[in-house]
Amino acid sequence: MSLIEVEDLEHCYSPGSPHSTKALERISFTVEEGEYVALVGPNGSGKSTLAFHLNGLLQPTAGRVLIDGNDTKCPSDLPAIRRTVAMVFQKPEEQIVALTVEEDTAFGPENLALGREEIRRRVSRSLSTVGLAGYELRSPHKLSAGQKQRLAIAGALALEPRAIVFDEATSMLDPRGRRETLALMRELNRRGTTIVHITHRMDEVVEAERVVVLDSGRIQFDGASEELFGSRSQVLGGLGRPAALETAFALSRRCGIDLGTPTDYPTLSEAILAALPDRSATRGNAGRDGRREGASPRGELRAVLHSTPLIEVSGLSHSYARSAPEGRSGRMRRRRAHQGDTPPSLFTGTADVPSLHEVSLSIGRGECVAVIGPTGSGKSTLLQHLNALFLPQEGEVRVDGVHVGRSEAELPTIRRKVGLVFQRPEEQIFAQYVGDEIAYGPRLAGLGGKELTERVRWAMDQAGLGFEELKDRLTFALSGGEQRKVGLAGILALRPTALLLDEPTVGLDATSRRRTVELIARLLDEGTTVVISTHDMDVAARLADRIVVLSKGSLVMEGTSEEVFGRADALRSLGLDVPGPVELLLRLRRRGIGFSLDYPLRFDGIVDALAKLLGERVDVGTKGEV
Amino acid sequence: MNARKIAVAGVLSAIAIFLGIPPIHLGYIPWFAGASLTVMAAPVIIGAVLEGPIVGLAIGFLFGLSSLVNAAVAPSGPADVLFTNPLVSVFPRLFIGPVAWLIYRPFEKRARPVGMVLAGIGGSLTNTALVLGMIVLLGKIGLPLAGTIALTNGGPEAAANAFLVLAVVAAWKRIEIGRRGSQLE
Amino acid sequence: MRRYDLGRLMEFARYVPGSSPLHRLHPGAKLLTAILGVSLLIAARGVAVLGLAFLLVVALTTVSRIPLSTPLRSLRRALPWLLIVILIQILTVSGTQWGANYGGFWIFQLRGGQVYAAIGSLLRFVDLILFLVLSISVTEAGELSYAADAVLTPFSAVGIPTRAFSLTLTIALYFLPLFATEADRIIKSQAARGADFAPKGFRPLGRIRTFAPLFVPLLVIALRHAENLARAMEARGYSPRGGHTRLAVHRLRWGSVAATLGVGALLVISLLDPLRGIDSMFRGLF
Repeated sequence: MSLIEVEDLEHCYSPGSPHSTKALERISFTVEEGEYVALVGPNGSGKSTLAFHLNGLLQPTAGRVLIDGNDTKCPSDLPAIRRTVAMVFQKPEEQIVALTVEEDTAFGPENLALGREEIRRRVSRSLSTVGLAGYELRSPHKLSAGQKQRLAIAGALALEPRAIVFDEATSMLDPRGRRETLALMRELNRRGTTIVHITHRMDEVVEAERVVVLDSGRIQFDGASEELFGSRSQVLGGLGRPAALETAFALSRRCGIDLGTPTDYPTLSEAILAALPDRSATRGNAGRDGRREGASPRGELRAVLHSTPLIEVSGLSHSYARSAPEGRSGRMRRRRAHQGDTPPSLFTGTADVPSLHEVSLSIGRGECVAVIGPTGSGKSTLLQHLNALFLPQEGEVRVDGVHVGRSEAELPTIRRKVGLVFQRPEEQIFAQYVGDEIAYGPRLAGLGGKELTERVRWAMDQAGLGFEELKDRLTFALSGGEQRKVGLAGILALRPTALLLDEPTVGLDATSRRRTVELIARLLDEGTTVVISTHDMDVAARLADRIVVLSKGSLVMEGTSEEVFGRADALRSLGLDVPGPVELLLRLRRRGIGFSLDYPLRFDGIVDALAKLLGERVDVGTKGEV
Repeated sequence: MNARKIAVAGVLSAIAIFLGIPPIHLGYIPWFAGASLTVMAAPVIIGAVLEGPIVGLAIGFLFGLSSLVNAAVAPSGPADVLFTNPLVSVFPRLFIGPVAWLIYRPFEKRARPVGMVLAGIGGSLTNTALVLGMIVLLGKIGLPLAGTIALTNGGPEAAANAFLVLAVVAAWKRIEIGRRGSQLE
Repeated sequence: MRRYDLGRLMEFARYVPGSSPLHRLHPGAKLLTAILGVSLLIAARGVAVLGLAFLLVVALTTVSRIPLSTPLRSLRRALPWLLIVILIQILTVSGTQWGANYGGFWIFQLRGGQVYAAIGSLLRFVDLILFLVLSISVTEAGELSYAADAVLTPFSAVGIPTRAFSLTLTIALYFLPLFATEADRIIKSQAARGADFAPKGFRPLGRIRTFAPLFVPLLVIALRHAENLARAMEARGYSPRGGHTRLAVHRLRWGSVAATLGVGALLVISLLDPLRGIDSMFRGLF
């Protein structure tokens, strides 16, 4: 008997009502004990719905789910089911039910009414497995996101389950947290726990031997991961293959070489090196001439624009410990703060809140600057200084020549000129209708009537939202992805000269990430200045002209993308990755192959450069000439 | 008490407590002559409307408790002095949720928005009336003064709470209120 | 630049670490003595009892080794309001029209009875403030949940869902700092779109409309958290009917029992108005 058996599962939300939607259709598969299965699909494919069925959180509308022989439709079997299959969810902070680490881990065993000694034993064991031994009495607030997720895993382990289902458990974590969690999953599987890993990230899929692909509520594929990547089929349409694989296929087509099915850049680089036995001598410096004819539109535009920088920061320091509520009533202070001054901030006090030390940089018009750095290095704080949400405590910030903080009257103008899109902009939604939500900013700026409507229409177009279809829809009834676009449109509607984006791609699947990057590129082409802070090196590489690296509040590196990414060792010592293609470049360089990349990175550009290296095969079939 | 009720009660209690924390008093909307309209009753009412009277009771209790603690430890107005007495700060707040739920119940099947608004008004007025009532009973202020406060502060406060309850519950349950469409030309 | 520190926010209602006999009381005892003590202070009649209580609370505060600045700070803040309240009470409440006449003006007559009542009120408020500050200072947040659980457990036999309540309390305490962060982000997000949360309009509707962009997202996010949390709880085997044991253990020592019984006894005694004699003497002064 398999551990998990899903037979003809169907799930319908709100059956019988006009809003009824079928999330899952005729799903059948099994999971054996000890397997490591990845369940992938684009957002909206029904992955989470399926996950909830595996633990009895949802009951099937049709078909059935058997866990170790127990039917999830049977309420008396549910305790046993939940002891067999445990779950870890996406947001670490939404799984915590106690004020200390050990109390939280103990929650599961407590529910099982086990004896105190047994609970203690399980708590100790789970915490050491996840690497949190010694943290027992610590408050969960003091943990990093990665640690919180490990705590959630400990909570699941304390049930001593035979399988753990991870529902997008890594999507909200930074690269380090993700690495930790994946390593833990691997280890648990090695020790015998069955793992079902639900994700939309292809680089995580390669961890599993078996992959199940879900799309539009149906299983599109169920088999070994090599099979999935090897096939040339369009199964992965919505998700996209790993970039390294796409590159390999493109090169195979162009150069007539078989590079196998490398799923990451190191493997690809080995394949390329293997395919270049004697060419290294002659192809010494391929790559540079891969530049397209004529300058890019962005380059042209920048040549035309002003040469003075748009934003200048010098000697900026900021410390959260310093605050000055004087001895007046809180409300008075808040009211004064509201009158055009810095909005009151309620937040500080935990260990992760950074300061800034003497940061200086300048951002040119039409440029794209990426701010990178480990979590807690001050990226968000810096960004919030650039649009006058924070007034400088020390040092100065100048936007378009105007000193930030010099006069209260100027602050709204600055904030309009420099728009800031926070992480998860969908969380700021409040208006009933989409149109009104997006109109909020421009309306406060004084727009009205037809002009306002046109502005909203433009903003929605930019963000990829259909104006007519969506403007009268209930904002809260939209999908998560659409809500995020609404949040973005709300800032775009102010037509800012510069756009600051704080982690714009967190939690997005490959398609959405690509669309977001395209949107930002489009804005850049139109002359908008962009500053993004991100953990995603590939995104940074694809957009940025210049990179700024922060660590513990100080600016430790600055320069063009080429310069900064070239210093891979320095980046790694800070705990940062390099973009995949850079990894490739470094490995080739190490073997004496001269090779350069053109920033911002473009897929075609990389393939062009590599094809030149490998010797393009002019094939009768493809080009029609010899 | 299923998990859902506990989670909602806990979360909304946290909000009610948070809105009242000095010195920021996020839940205090500035009104005239230095007075404020407080909207901490709104999470209590929302909890009652969504999950029932017991959840409303729990949230109200924790809200009252937090106003007691705040009053003792960081008083910021004459009212706080009175709130050091749990009969004034805790006892009245127990009723906000159940009263709101009772008002909402007949509307649950039809005309929900109306029910939400009435529950909001009712819950808020319960708060005003009982708090002032206890203060009068304990002999701290006279009846006429209490009445004036009830009208000038309690009325607008009820409107504010009702608005908030309506906006949030409608958003959460994806119920459309009123106009069909945004206000764009 | 104006900023508001959450750290300073909480400094008013915070646990002061220590190991005095008060700190070491069983959490349930802390809770019960707090409840009983407050009840005593509310129900007490007569200046004499309140005066004695004052001395008692001050003594306890010394025993707890909490820096005097903590309760004094709260008292200092309360003082102006205290005086206003007492003034209002004297002027608007009837029933204290006895005793010597100290003269007056217009329709206000200051009489001995009112001064006596004022002293009584003052003492009562001061006592309450000092006692509450003391109770909070010796109790950790985690202990509070445990205490609620411990005190309520006997009632679960009668069918009251006590575990539900202590879980609710824990969840509320856990989410409190989280909401501070999220509120901060929402305020800043809306400020980035030009909001300044300056109240507009004269109708309450206009004013709250201005604040809708703050409150609505905050509450909706809260409800979303609740939904996901409930799911996680169920996944970890929570069930309303299920039994449960607790991990933490606090040993019940005789000191805690004695303290609780002691305060309870004081409450009962005070209801019998034992210091009547001293009180009448005091009243005679007015």
